[in-house]
This record gives sequence, C-alpha cells and structure tokens, in this order.
Amino acid sequence: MDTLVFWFFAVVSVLMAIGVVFAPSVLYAALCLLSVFFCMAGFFLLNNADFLAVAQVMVYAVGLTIVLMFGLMFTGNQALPAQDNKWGWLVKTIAVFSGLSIAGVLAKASSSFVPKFVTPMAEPMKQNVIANGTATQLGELLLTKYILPFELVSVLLLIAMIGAILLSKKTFSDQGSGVFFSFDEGKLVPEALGWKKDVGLE
Amino acid sequence: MSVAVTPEIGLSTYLVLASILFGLGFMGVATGRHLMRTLMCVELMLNAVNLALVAINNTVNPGDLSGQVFAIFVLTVSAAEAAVGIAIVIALFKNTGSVDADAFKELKG
Repeated sequence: MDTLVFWFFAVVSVLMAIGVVFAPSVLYAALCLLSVFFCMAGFFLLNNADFLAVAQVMVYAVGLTIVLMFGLMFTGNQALPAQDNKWGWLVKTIAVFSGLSIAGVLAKASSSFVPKFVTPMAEPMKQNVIANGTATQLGELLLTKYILPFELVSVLLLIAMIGAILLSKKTFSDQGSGVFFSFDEGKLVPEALGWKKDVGLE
Repeated sequence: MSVAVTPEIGLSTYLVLASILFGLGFMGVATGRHLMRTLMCVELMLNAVNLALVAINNTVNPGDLSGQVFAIFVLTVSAAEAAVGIAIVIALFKNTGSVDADAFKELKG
C-alpha cells in the first residue's frame, strides 16, 4: 500500500514539477506548484513526519500559494514579449542541459547510496515515533538544542515582514511614504520617507 | 508464491526523486524569464532538499528528529525569502512595468 502511494505521489510530483518549469502561463505554473506541495506533504507522511506534513500544507500549500497568487495579480498575467536576445536559444539550451546533468549526477550518486551508519535501534524507534507523533519531540528539540537558530529565525521573519511591507508600499513616487531612491553625486541613496507621519510622529 | 513483487521503497528512491526535482528546479531558475516563475522554481528546489532531509532522518536515526527540525528551518527561511522576493518583484513592476528578467539591465555591473 505504501509503495503504491509512494509511486502515485512520485509520478504526480515529477509531472507537476515539469509543469512548473514549462507551463505556458505563470498561473498554471503556480497551480502545478500547489500540487507539488501537496505531494511533498504526502511524502512527509510516508516518512513519519506528521507535524512537518501539516506545516507544509499550512505554510507552503496555503500561505505561499496565496502570496504567489497575489503577486501574480499585482504584476498581471500577460505573456512576455518575444525574446530579442540573439544568443537566447544557446543560453536556454545550456541551462536545460546543466539542469539535466545536475539531476542525472545526483540521481546516479544517490541510486546506489547506502548510509555508512544506521542506528541499530531504527525499527523500534520508528514504531515509537509512529505511536507518539513527532510534535512533542520537535517542540523539545526546538526549545532546547536548537533554541539559538529558532530565535534567530524568528528575528529573520520579523525583518523579512517589515522589509516586504516597506518594499511593496508606494515606492518610487514623489508623494506618500515608502522607500525612495535618489542619485546623489552618482551614488544610489535609499531613504525611508514618510514613516514619521505614518506612525503619528508628525 | 509472491506475485507482482514491489520492492520496498528505500532511502535511495527518495534521494533519486529529490535530485530529479532539484534538477528541474534549477532548470527553471536558469531558463525562466518571468521573475515569478524563477521564485517558484527556487521553492521547488528548497522542497526537494526538505524531502531528502526528512527521508534521511527517517532512515538513519528516527529516534532523533534533528533532520525534521532542519526541514522546519528551511521552511521558515523559504517563506521569508518568498515574501521579500515577491515584494521586490512588485516594486520592480511598479517601477518599470515589466516582470521580464531580460528587461532589468540597470544592475549590470
């Protein structure tokens, strides 16, 4: 049964990944990406990672896809103009070839990969994980052994959020607030304007 | 007698799948002209790495879930990356009216 489920997800995810790369419309590519995310959640479940599967669905399949859709709506879904670059086909061929060779080399190396060390208690540990779920242990690890990266990542998320808001506000205009860019003596000078008014200081 | 022998799905099968997805993602990043598609392909590559992390964790040492913790960090960082990336794409679109990677030549060194 697990084998059948695995092959189903494997075939669907590879086909949909090809769709992400080659779909004619970016909107179709986003929908293909959505199904790749769901397939990944399935693989996580097959690997006894229940918490990660739910997080995958919540963060990637719901959150990220919505953000992508909003981005597409803001930028419009029109087709790109035809490429006028003379060597465009060459660049494209090299890129496809290098992608194929990366996939080929990695797949060749990993098809015969056997881990040098496997813990002797793997099977009973697996049964224990299946019986108890992973959320408890993940929470313990995050708040003890990995507390520093956990805190750093939370700061990173805050910075990214503020940066994203600032960047996608009314930019590059004479009025309103946001990040503005001006040339001073040949140097690009960014400055945040209008934020004092926004927070009520002016 | 066993019919229709389906081999057990081992670690190497997962790793082969992850490398195929990673290669496809790289192909998309390298060929894609639409900036949004480039971002999507980066997410695809990150997902492939997550798959490899979780599969290795489940095979080598299922008692210690460090691999899954790394996967959670990758997930968080990729969410932040996507938010900032899409904000930059929108800012570029407002400035130039295009999402074509070929159209942005100002940053050429």
